[in-house]
Amino acid sequence: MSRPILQLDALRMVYNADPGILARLSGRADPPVIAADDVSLDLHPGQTLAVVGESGSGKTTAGRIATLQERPTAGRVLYEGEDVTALTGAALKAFRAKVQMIFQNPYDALNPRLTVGQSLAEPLTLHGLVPRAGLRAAVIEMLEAVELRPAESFADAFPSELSGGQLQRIAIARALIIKPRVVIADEPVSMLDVSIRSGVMNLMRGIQRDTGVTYLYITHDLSVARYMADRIAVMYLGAVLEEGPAETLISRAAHPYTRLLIQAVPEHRASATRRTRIRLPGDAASQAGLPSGCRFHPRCPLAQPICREKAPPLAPVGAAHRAACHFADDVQTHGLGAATAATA
Amino acid sequence: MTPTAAKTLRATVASVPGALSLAVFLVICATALAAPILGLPDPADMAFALYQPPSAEHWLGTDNFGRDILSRVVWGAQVALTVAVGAALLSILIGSALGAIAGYFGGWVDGLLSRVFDIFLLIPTFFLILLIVALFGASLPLTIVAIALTTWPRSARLMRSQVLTLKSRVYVQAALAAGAPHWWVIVRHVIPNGIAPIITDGTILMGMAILTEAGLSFLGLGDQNLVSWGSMIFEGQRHLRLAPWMSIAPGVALLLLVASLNLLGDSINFAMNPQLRTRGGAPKRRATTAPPAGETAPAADTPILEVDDLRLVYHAGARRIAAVDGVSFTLPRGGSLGIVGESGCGKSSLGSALLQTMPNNAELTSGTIRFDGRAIVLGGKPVVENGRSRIDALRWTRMATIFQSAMNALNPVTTVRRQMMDALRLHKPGISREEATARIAEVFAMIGIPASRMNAYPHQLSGGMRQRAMIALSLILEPELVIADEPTTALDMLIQDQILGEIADLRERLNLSLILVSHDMGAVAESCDVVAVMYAGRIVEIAPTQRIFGNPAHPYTRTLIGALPSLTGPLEELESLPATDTAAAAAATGCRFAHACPAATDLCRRAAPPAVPLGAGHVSECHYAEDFAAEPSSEPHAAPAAAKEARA
Amino acid sequence: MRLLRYFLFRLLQMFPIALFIVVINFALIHLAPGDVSILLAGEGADPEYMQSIRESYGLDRPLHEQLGAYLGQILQGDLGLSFRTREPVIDIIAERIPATLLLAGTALVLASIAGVAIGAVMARRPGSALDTAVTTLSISLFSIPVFWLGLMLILLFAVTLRWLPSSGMVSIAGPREGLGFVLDVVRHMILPVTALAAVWLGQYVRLSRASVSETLAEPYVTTARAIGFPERRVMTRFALRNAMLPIVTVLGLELGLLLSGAVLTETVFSWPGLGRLIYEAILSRDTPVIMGAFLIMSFTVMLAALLTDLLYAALDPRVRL
Repeated sequence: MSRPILQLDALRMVYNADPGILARLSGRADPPVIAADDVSLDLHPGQTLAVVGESGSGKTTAGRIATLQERPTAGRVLYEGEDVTALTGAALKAFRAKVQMIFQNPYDALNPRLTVGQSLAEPLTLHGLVPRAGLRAAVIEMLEAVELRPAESFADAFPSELSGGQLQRIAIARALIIKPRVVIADEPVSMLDVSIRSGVMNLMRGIQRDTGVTYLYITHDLSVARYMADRIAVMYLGAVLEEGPAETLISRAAHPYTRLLIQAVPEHRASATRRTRIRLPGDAASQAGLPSGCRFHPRCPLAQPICREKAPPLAPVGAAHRAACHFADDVQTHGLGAATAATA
Repeated sequence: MTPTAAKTLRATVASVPGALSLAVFLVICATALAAPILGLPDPADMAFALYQPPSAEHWLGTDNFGRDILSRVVWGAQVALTVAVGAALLSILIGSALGAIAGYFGGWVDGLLSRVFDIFLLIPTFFLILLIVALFGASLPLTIVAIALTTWPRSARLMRSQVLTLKSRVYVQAALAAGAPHWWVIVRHVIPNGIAPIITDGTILMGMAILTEAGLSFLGLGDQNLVSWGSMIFEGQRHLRLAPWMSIAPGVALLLLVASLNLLGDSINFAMNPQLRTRGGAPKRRATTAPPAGETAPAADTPILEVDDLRLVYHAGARRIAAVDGVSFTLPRGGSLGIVGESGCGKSSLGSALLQTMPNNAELTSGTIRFDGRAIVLGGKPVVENGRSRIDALRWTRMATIFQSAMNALNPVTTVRRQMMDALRLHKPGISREEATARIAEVFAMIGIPASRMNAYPHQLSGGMRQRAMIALSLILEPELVIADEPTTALDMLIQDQILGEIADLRERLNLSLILVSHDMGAVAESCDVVAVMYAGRIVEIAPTQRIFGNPAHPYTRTLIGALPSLTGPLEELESLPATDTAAAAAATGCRFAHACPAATDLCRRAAPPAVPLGAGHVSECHYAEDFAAEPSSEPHAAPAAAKEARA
Repeated sequence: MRLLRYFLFRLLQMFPIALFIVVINFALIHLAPGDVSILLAGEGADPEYMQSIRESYGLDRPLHEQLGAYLGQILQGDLGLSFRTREPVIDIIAERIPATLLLAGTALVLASIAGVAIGAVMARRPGSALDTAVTTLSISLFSIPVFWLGLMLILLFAVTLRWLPSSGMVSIAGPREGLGFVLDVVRHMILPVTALAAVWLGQYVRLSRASVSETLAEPYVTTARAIGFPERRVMTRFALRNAMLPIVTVLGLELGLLLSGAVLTETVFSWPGLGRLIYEAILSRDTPVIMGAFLIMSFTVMLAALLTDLLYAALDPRVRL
């Protein structure tokens, strides 16, 4: 496998670690929140890694750290093997030219007081990549690339005149206009209508084919992850529970959480028949007050006494496939039916 | 000027109070500026007879020293405006600078500065100003500085909250992620988008400054060398019985100026946020109608709900938007219907029309709704029988709803149990406390809420539990029909799946009739026998669930199914629509979907398609419905042969 | 118990603010032109008293020790002597507080009840002609200088119509006890209370109109209507209950503003309260009284803010205690 272009190495992110004396005295201190706990992820050039998780899983935090919008409490970010975690000033700016970000909410993505053209030209101006005279041409070219035609009229439009799908295409254009090598996309289609979503996803795939850009694609939807990604990492309460090649992870999932996520995806193409559901014991957990042992055990249908006591490590379960479950092998072979196998 | 600024100005002037206050304010400003060239007598000149009432010569009379009051009022305007502009500007400058710093940089800087703002809010400012002026001696510049010193925290707090919001805006984050330095982001993105409310508040600040200065002058702490309205009233007070006009004129001037400023600020605020003026409100009184003659008693096979040609229009200013544009369907007792469509297709409006909970700017223009064979809406009007609207008699006891976003659909200051209790007692006034509690416990157990959470407030529950509580509330009176509007949006995957499962289970166990509104084909697939697909206000296809997935006969349905990636099937390129706006589509002639349809022909653009019956309750509004239905759904890209020929 | 802890915590938070206010006072005295001892003692005080002031405030010692001494004096409740009457400032102020409370309290209760009611009714028909008219009127109301409104009321009802007394709290030859006394005070109260309440009414109408219309747009109100609650119940149980939260907050925060109106009103009507006292002190340059009144007013406002906080915490279960 090629050398990773961007690596997150043993990231740890704790919010509210130090609530301050006054808050502690009054008993009003917010408990510390562990948003990322020993998260390691590798991005390989030209490929897509999808990070899948529900709200509070730490997937967005991972993305924000990867773009150095936030600095981790511990751990490193490596770009082409070099530690960039503490970059500032010009070096940080140079890093930003290489690693760009696409955000979730397209309706808020553009400054309402600037035209689309002005917003698109901004990154170019900031990085001094194109002379003033060439800005317009570069903007038009980029608008064409995201299939917004006629590009001229889109360049002069204000954001309030455009639809969600169009705005997200412009947001993608803004991230790509300075030709970054890595793009972190945080749920770029989750706020769009279904029929518009696929267009944006296809656009991103097409651009990757043409330019070889690397994506870190953050999503809550496993089927979107499969469509977009070469590899998938499943996160839960700040930790990676399972990671592997997209197809393998879905067909041979080794973590009960991944299995449950797969079951929960409404599969409409298959016949619309009733599925048997496992009623989960616990409710959605929160990052504050992490459970002991395996962080998933309160909701896990297969939980055993050991799960309450000992946190399972993220261990290999196949080629380039890792999972953090004491019963990973059982789950991989028997699925959620492994309950019987484990207790037997 | 950006479009927003121009629009705000236009909207301000368009309202009566806005235009009036702007005019008054401008006239006062012009008069004050023109004071030297108006040919008025010197305001300090004691040249005339004392205590003269208003006359042709002295329009506002003369005072105890024989000075012309009109001239003094005009010159006094200069002082008032100087105080207003000076204090407001100074206050905004100091305030926004510190507020922006606090908001933008956060952390301990924010902690410290916010503390200072809070402290200033707690100081009775008028007394502080009074103390300052009393200690340092009265002069106009000092008064201005003292006022600004006590009002800047107001601007600071405003700016801080603006910046805090703006900081999390995506375009600010994006600029930072693009490598923009902080000063760039502040100048280009934060200030231009955050300044409007501060300017608006400036008018309020000006009014406050004028009143404060007047109050000080009235207490004898005004600048003795200047003509101030406050000191004129101060002097007039002593001669109130003899020469009331001495106090009336400057007071009216004060009132006009301050009121025009406050009204102007208010009008600009409304112009910027038009919803402030019209949101909320009590339900509008709507025209009603009598029950139709010859209604027969419901039989066992009478459908629980029949909707015929329902049309719902929103009024937005002068525009009329047809959100539901001729929708008909029938739901048999115990049946379940999924209504699927994308944002703006009218599915939620349809849901609100069924229970008559639509907002005041919505109106049913036509259509009939029958519940259990009895009309509850006829010709778009609610049916009233014996002085009571029929829908009111059905509410919650026979027909209930599960709202979107349970966070806000439950009363935040009342416990969940109490809300259930209230609903129970409203409809069953005789029920005893024990019975009610037992019933609540029963419903909670049914929906999977632990008994220990019964006395929780909504905010103490997790998202999933809150949604369960909403479902429990809808089932408390054992309704026959439940309308669920996006019951699982904004919930996590696993919880969504669990709750959809609960709803499907409950439906079977309680023999509920169900209408499930969703944007997600997958969400309705399991719990509904029949699926209706809505597009631009119409049901474009309706069919039994198996058929709509197996043989979709409308290209839009095909897109909805084909646009979703699969988890288990083969990986194939997804269908997509061009990046056009769906809202604009409804206005087009011909087929509503033609502008985006991959298989559209000239016929589609010319003529609206008929409803094509395809057997077994399958209806599609497409010219080529039969051709689509004949082809299995596994080839989403392919347009039927007939459409291809027509295009060729 | 939790409420008590919350109260103590908030009380603790008030200390730095109180300290800050005292420091402002101290700083102003020292920054002001003229001899500090004269400001503290008042002009023309006898040398003996001047000397005792210098000693008790430590005016010969370094600044930080002076601040310490000043704080010590205030902690003992010693705000100095009025230079006009030679009585302790604290006593003079204490004597005037009941009259101010009576005037401001009555006006506040009347204005807030009427204002909330009118605003709530207007919120039910947002954007109607009546709503626009009432909004405009209430903005105009709080744009009126309260002292001028007082004068106009005197002009109309006392001078021209002679229905009501123009000044003071009791008639000179009136009854001193019993119902007659109460009625006499009420007659004297009508005009000043009207002036004060009218101006505040504008504020509350707007506040309540905004707050109620916001809650009426909330989904839980739609839920209540869907359940079938009668409009009256929806209004009281759902809309007003939630709308009270912001109203209570603003009420607490703007008390300082309200008190300034009270001072001006008392001046116009010669109402024997704190406001009138401050006015007299300004006229006779009685700085100890002005400073003392400022301190007392500040502490009152802080106390009121504390009480509103507690009220809010009791009303809103979402407040973390």
